[in-house]
Amino acid sequence: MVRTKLLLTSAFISLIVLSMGETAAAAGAACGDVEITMGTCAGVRANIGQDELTLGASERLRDGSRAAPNGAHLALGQKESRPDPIQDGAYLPGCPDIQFDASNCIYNAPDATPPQDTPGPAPTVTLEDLASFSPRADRLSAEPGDWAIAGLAVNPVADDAPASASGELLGLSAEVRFTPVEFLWDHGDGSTMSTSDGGATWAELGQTEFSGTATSHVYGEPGVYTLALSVRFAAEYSVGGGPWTPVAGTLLAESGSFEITVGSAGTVLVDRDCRTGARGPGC
Amino acid sequence: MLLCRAAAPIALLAAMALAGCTAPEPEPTQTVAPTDEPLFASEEEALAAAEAVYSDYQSQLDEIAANGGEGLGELVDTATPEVIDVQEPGFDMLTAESIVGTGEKLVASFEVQSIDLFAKEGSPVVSAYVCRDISQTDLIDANGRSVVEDDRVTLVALEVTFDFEPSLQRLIVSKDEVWSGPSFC
Repeated sequence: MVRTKLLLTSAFISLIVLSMGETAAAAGAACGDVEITMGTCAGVRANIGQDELTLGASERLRDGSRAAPNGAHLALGQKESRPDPIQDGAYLPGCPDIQFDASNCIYNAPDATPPQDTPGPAPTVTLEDLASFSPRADRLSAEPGDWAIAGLAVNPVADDAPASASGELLGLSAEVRFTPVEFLWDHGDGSTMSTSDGGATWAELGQTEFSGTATSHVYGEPGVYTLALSVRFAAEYSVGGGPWTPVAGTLLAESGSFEITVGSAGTVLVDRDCRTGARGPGC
Repeated sequence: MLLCRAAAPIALLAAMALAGCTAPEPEPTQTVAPTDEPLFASEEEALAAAEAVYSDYQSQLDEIAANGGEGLGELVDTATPEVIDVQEPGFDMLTAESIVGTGEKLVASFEVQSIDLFAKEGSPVVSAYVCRDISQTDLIDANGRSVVEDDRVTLVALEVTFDFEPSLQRLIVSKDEVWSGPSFC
């Protein structure tokens, strides 16, 4: 349980910090392999036993000291309580050196080559990070089908349900929710349209076939057109069942397209119903 | 009742529909992914490649330590110059003080943080959380004594990033840093 708690705390610290556009708390420590192996990397010591760390307390540790930024190679306050690393009071061989603190032989990187003054790129929760959570693209359908009649409305409909996906974010189990906020229709005949919802079928609207709807379009000329839908999504993520946190920006995803064959109006348009007026033109 | 000629196509369509010959469902097009072919066929493949590179990288670090800090140049196959720069002072110290490393570092866990197959001009970037087990390693001075801290942390939480190196046609370690948050190991 403790381990889980720490993990989540780590993630939330990261997420909160990132959402604030800051990187300090999540910046890694640039210790070399030798320091890590030797046990003198302050960053390694600092990240053990931080279960008393509270959100917003930055890197302040329980002893009141502040973790050295960017993994500076200084021992923290607890150094005094640890046994001398070298028994019998011996220094490391040849210890007095510009690279050593002669008092305790803690290895220090020379000032001339600071490990990394600029923090490494922190894990940034952006829409790019959510690439593996992409909302599904099969949202487009149309009535009457992949055919239409010139001069009569075709009724494209988009599934406007939010999409959720599970996966890993920052190494933790996470869920991402995409909510459509804008539907961009490209009718393929030079006409485009933007709607705030995905529309509805004629049956759902209680309308007759070929009637106009909020998302309908009338092709003027017969031909084959590519009807395409792009959906702009807002994204939110939740780590470990925690609260939903919005991700800055929106994701524009092409969400389906197909060819629609528009038949000649002459094949259907008559000046009266053939079933009731057999003498109408074309009947 | 007379059936008009013009209505025949509609009737035909209706008949087709009844017979199950409806127009095919529109085929959705997946267009979220970029257009270029990824260098890795899947995220799993990229992750496996990253893990293999990290294993090589750690083995090289062990070897350099075993050689008393010599041979840092070997790392160019597995790490960026920036990563090597971070390693250099420590290995220089080993050389200067005649300290040699023993044993092997182990990867206790390798968890994906993020994989973007197209992050940098179409090249993949993989980030991972690594727990490095150094319990089997030691640093021995010229007198045969261990110089590691008695209470060193042997399970080290690291945040590691891999970039694709075009000249090598493989992922290499571009960031290998101690995780500064509470340890996840």
